[in-house]
Formats: sequence, structure tokens, C-alpha cells
Amino acid sequence: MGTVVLGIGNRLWADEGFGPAVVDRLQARADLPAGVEVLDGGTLGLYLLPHVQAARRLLVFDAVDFGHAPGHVVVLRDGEIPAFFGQRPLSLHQTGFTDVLAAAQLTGESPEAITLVGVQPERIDDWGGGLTDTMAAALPRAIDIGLAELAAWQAEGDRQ
Amino acid sequence: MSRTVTPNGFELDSSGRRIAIDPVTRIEGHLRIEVNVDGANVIRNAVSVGTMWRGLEIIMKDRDPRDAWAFVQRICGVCTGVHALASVRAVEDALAIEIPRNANIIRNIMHLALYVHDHLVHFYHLHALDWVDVVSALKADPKATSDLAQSLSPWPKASVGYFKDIQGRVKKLVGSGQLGPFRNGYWGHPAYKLPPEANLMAVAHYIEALNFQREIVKIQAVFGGKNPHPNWLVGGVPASINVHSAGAVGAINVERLNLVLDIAKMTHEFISQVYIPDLLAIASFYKDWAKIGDGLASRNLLCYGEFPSRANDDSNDSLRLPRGAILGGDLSKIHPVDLKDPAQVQEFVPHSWYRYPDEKAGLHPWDGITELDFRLGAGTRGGKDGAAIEAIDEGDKYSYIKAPRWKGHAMETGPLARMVLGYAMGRKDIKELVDGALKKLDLPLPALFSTLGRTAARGLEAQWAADRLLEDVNDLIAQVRAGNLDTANNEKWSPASWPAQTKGVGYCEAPRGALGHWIVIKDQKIANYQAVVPTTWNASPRDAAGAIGAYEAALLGTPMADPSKPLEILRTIHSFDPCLACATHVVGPDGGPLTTVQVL
Repeated sequence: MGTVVLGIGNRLWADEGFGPAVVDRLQARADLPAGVEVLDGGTLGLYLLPHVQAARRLLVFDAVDFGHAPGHVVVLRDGEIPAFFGQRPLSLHQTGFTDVLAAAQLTGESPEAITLVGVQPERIDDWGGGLTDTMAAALPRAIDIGLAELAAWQAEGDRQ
Repeated sequence: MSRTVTPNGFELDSSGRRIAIDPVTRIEGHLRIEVNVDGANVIRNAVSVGTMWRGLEIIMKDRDPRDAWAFVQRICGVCTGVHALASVRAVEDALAIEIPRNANIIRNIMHLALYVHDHLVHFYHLHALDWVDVVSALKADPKATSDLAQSLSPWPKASVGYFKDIQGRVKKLVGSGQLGPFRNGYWGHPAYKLPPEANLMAVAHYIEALNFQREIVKIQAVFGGKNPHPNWLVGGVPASINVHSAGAVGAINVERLNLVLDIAKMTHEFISQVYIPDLLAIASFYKDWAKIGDGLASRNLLCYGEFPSRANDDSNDSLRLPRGAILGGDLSKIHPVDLKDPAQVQEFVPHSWYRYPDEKAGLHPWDGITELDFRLGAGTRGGKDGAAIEAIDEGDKYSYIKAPRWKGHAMETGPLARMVLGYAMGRKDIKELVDGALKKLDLPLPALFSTLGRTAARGLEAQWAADRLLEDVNDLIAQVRAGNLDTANNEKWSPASWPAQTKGVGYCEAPRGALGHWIVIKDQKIANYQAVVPTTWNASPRDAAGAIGAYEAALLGTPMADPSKPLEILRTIHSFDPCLACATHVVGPDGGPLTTVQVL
């Protein structure tokens, strides 16, 4: 498998559903680069391991608590991701996903490149409430950043 | 009153230091444990608190009984399928629907695959790190590790280079400061007893099991379309068989059956050559834990039975894991269990956040009530104005888990109960496994009634399930070869064929223990639905008379090396394979967080 786009999060917890909401929008687009697989990772935790192991490049969308203003978008790459995860609690399912990344590394099958596009949530305890307006407004920006990353990866691949 | 003796014979003393362990993740179920320790750091009182409300009983009201499995299956994504199986059995019982032979075999295969998967993942990824010190593995000599591994098992991955490679990967992860699944372990805790080489071998198998577990679940996907949450069907299984490439595309064909057979063979090999040797090797260093964590195990055990060898027959002649109860530790007397008898399974709520008209009485699940009543007792510390609770008041209501009782008794359920019941009933296959392990460890039968025994019973049951899985897959192939392709009975699919009012019960032995779903159907809709799950039994709070549940009882008397690093509590609670989120933080007696523990 080449490039995997993974949106993770819990749709039932307001802004925690950011990752899956990105997946909805990406899956509706016809202009994604060829060979890109878009997956709703939900809160699957360890079940995501085979998808991570199989990816050469992994683009992750997730709601993460960076302590920024709600809606703020942050991009982290490769080594920055575990280092950041190690410092403070981030998302609700971080245990699940950081552990999956580490597990992939332990098995000797982890992606060459990982990029995380994270957005600061405004609210997560509004169960069943869907994305807040702030998060919905941040969505197009986060998607544009992700698409630019995919384009850069594709250009890099073309050069090789 | 800080000192009491419970009606089920346990002495409680809540005068010492209080320690609370509370999970922080929100993905799965929640469990909070509070204990009081005496001056010597021995646990003298234990309180098990379910902190999440499930409420699925209310969601089920007025729905189509044929859809119930799809909703209740979402209770849990870990032991996926068990609630669906209990649910379709409940509806089939209510409507007197008989399923075809192949449907029974396929359900057994899916459920056996779940047992093996669940037990394997529990042992390596949720429980092993309570016994295996990852950081110590870095000090191991790869040559000595290779010698150790080869002395225990013919498993081929045992070369010096292999263990050197594994050690390098772990070193890299630890060196990066990102321990991943290994962070927040109590590395270096005095309760870890394995030599570095055994630790390295176990870590290597932890990693192998990570890769292997994903193969086993393919069995669920072959028959149920996907995993987790495969598809089920009232009246059979939604998996048509088509061996001649005519008819429906996507049906089970010879290629799919061969895939399942291959996975069953690989699984059998992994359990026999990796899981069991590891279990016995690790257990041999922790024999002191054969005397810790008994609780209800040596007294009251409950099993609903599982794996009918004949479709639609849940008698003990058919059930390969038997149904029955043991009371007072008398293994010579097996009590028959009737899930329909209103005087047998009952749930009590005086210490649960639910309301009954008369809380002194228990209710049979067919008459069960799910009405919330959250309140904290006067003795609660903290918890005001949205602040965190420091210590719960177990004298009042204190859990979202009801207190189920069998004929009034608190019971333990799970692999230990199943292995002991099978042993007591003289089941040859079970007796051989149990006697074999006890002999290898040079331990007597009562050693089973412990934290170590619970963990060992789960491994032995995984071996048992792997044996049966191979047999059942071959049985299915034989059926298909003989031309028997029937997988569903749709005779009573139409609600017009149903009685105006009926009720049923669906039994199941989930990997964690006895699971029952009780359904009442009126005018073709669900009028009442109650699920009593294994963790309800084991994590039960006190009942009307003050009798404590299995977790609470099992923790009593446990010595702790350092209460701020409650490894000993995790060992015993994990030995039950609780259905709870495993990221927990520890709150000290002053309510301040002492440390954080992450146990995958």
C-alpha cells in the first residue's frame, strides 16, 4: 500500500469527530491523487495496526489538545509526533493511536513518513452534538493542508 | 463503623489509608477501584465502582427483536460478537426458532476464534506487562535468551540474532523517550521477578502476538462480513455457502473454508508453542501469586455453558463447556442453573445508581428495571460542584453496575469458573489440561483459586478453544462436502407468525464469563430487554445484605510493596480480564494524583 489517510476520533463526542468528518469530505472528492486510501479509523485502536504497517506514507487527521485557541490547526511530522505525544495528554484516544504507532515500530513495519494534521477542539462533552461551528470552520483549512501534503508526497514520488 | 464482617464471610476494615485507581480514557467501559490498606500496606477493604452508564436497555425498547443483535453488539468492541450471539439466542428462544446444524457450527467457530483471540490479546497485551519488566529485557543476553526459548518450545523464532534484533527495537523505542504501549509501566518495581532473559523472550512474543492476532480475527470477517462487529442473524448465520461457484457472489466457498482452516492451524500452533510455554514459564516465577487474589473463586462459581455440539440443545450433554454452579467450594456438588427461574438470577440495586420500587428485593432480568438514581453518600470525599471524587462512600449507592446474585449468592464467573466446573464434572478434555499444567508447575488444585490460577485458566482455555476450533472447522468442511449447505431458518422471519406476547433468554459464555440477555416481546416489539454481563458479576458492588462481589473479595489480604504504585491491584483486577479502559491514574489519600499508570 502506498499512501494512507486516516481520520481518527469519536463522532459521538462533538469536536472529537474531526478526523472522521475529514474522511467524509475526502471520500466525496474525485481529485485525490491516485493510490491514496482514505480510512475512517474511528476509535479502533489496535485494529488499526495492519493499516499503519501497510502504509508507506501516513497522513493522520485528529482532534488534539495543544492548549491553543479552539480551531487552531497544527501540523507535526515524523519525529515530532511521538515527542509531542510524550509530553502531555492530547486526544481522548491518544493511548490507542500512539500505541499503534509504537507497536508498528516494534514490529519493524512502520511508515517512512507520518504527518499529523491536528485541530484544537472547542468542545467534546456535547455528546451527539456534532462538530462545533469553530471546528467546522477549521475543517477546510485542515483539509487544504492535508491535500498539500499529499501533493508534495506525490511530487516526491514522481521524482524518485 | 470501620470494621465489619460481610454476610459472605469477608472481614472489611476501612480505617486505614484509602487509595483510588480511576481510569481516564473514555473509549471503553470504566472501572474505579478504591482500597483501604493497613499499616503494613495490606488491603483490608475494597470497593469496585462502575463509573459509566450503559443504558442500552432503554435504547432497545420498542425496537424490532430481529434488529436487537446489531444494537447490543455495540456494548463492546473488544469481545465483539458475544452480545449479538446472546441476543439472537434470546430472540430464537422467545420465538421457538430452531437453527440449522451449519449455523450452530459457524457460530461455534466464530465464538471459538473470539476466545482464542481475546485470551491471547489479553495475556500478551493487557496482562503480561503486569508480570514482565520491559526495561529489564534490555539487560538480557540474547544468547541465553535463545537457549531459554529453545529449552521451552520448538517455536522456530528463537535464534540469537532474532532476540538481538528485538532487543534493538525495544532499545530504540525506550531511547526515543516514547515507550508507546510500555510507557507508565512500573518498571523496576520490586514485585517483578523474571530474569532479564525471560523478560526479553516475553517481549519478543508480545510483538509476535501483535502481528498474529490480526490473522485470527479474519475468521470473524469470513463468516460475518467484517470485524469488529460481524453480522448475525436471527434463525442462523448470514453466511451462505456456495461451493460450486454458481449462485451468489461472495458466498462461503472452498477457498474461504481453506483460509479458515489455515488460520485455525496457525492459531493452534501459536497457542501450543508460544502462549502456553510462556504462561507456564512466567507462572513458575510467580508461585506466590497462587496464594493471592482468591476472593470468591474458592467458594462460588457460575457458568451458563457454551459451545453446543448439537444445534438448539443447551443441555449439558450438548454443551462442551458445561452449565452449572458451585457453592461454598464444594466441587462434589454441581447445582443446575436455570436462567428462566425467577428465584435464581436476580439483580439488586441498594448500592447501585438505579431505583427499584423495593430495593430490599432483587429482580429477575425479565422483570428488570433500568431507572437511573445517581446520588453520592454522605461520607463521600470530594465530588462537590463538579470536583473529582476523592473517595466514594460505599455505605450508599456507589456504582452504575447492579449487583447480580445467583440464588442470593455473589458469584465469580469467567475462564477459571469454566475450567473448575468442567474439572469438577470430570470432563476429560478439561481435566487433562488442568492436571497437566498443575503438574508442570508442581502446584496443588487449590492453587487455581488465585490471581495466578485465573490467568493460567484463561491460557488453558485458549488451548482448549484452539483444539475445538480445528475440530469444528473440519466438521463444517465435512458438512459442506456432504452437501449440507443450509445456514439459516427463515420460517418465523415474518412477525405475523409470532405470538402476541412472549419472552426468551439468550445464554452465552463470553471470554470474560457468563453473559445473559433477557427479552420480553409484546406486539412484535421489544417490551423489555436486560443484559447481565460477566463484568456485572465480577465487578459487582455490595448487595442489600452487604455481601461483596468478586473483585472486591479478591483484593482483600493482598500485600502491596508501594501503594502509590499499585501493581498488585492491577495484577488481580487484570486476572479477571475486566471489560474496562486500561489507562488509569492513581489518586492519593489527599485526592492529589500520585502517578499515572498505563496498562494496555
